[in-house]
Amino acid sequence: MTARCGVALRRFLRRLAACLAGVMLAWFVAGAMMFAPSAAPPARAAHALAAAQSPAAAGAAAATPPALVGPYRPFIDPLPPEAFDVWPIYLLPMSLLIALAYKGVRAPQTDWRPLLLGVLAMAAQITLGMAALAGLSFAIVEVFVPLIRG
Amino acid sequence: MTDHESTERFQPAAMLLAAALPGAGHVFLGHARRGFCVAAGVLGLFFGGLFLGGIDSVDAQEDRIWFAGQMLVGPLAFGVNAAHQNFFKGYDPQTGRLRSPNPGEHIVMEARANAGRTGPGAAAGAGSGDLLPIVRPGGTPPARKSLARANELGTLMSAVAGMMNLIAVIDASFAARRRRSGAPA
Repeated sequence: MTARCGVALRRFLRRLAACLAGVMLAWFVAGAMMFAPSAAPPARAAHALAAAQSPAAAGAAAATPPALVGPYRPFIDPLPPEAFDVWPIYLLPMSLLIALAYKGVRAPQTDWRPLLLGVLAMAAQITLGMAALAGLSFAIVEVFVPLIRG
Repeated sequence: MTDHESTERFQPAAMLLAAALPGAGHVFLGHARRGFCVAAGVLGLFFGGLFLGGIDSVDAQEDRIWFAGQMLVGPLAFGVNAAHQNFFKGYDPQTGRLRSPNPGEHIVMEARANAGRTGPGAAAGAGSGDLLPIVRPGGTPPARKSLARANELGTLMSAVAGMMNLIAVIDASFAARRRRSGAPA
C-alpha cells in the first residue's frame, strides 16, 4: 500500500515537474519576445541608409572610418550585447544541460521516457531554485536591508 | 542481496577515457546511452559557454580560477585555451605582457628583438630570429573581448561543464557504486 502510494506520488511529482518545465519554457519565450530589441532599425543604421542614398554617398563612403572590430564569428566572438537583454533565458538551456549530464550519470534506468522526464524534473528544480534564490536576494537587498537601516 | 552490486571495482581505463572525452568512459563500460547523455550535457555546456562568451571565456591566464573548473572537461579545454593564448593574443609592446587586442588594434608577427619598439619603423626587423605576436594599433582584433554578462555566462557555463564531467569521471571509475541490484544499467 505504502509502496503503491509512493509510486503514485512520484508519478504525480514527475508530471507536475514536466508541466512546470513547460510553463517555464512558455514564460521564457514570452519574456524573450517581450524584451527582445525592437525590429525598427537603430538610428545609426537609418542614418547610414540615408547617407548612402544621398548624392554625396561616394564621398561619404571614402571618409568612413575603418571598423574597429571584425564581423561576428560564432564560438570565437561573444554574442552581441543586445542578445543579453534577455539573459535569464540562457539559464534554461544551462539547467537542461546540467540535468541531462547529471541524470545520465545518476538515473537508475536509461529508458528514454523516464530519463527525459527526470531531466525535465531536475531542470525545473534547478530553475525554480535559482528563481527562489533571486527572489530571496531581492527581498534581502530591497526589503530587509532598508528596514534595518530604518 | 545488498543495495550495491558486488562487482564494484576501480576501472582505470574507463576513468582515463572519461577524462579524455566526456562520455567515453561510460561507452567503454557498455553504457552507451549514459555516455551519450553525459557527452551531450557536458559538451553542450562547454560549447554553449563558448557560444555565449566567445573564446575569451576560456582563459587560463586571466581567469585562472575559472579555468581550474573548465580544465575538467579534458584535453578539449586545454586545446581551446592554447588556441586562445596563441592565436588570439599578442604581447603588449609597453608592458611586455600577453593580452587580447582592443578594438582598433591587431596582431603582427615580429622578431623578438623588436617586441619593445613602437612606431611605424617597428616592423622593420620582422623576419629575423623567432617571431612573437605583438599588439599594434590599426586593423581589427582577431577576436572580440568578452565583457560583462557575456563573459559571466560563458565562463560559468564552461566551468559547470568541467564540474559535471568530474562527476562523470568519478562515476565511470566506480561504475557500479550507486546502481541498485536488479536495476537495468
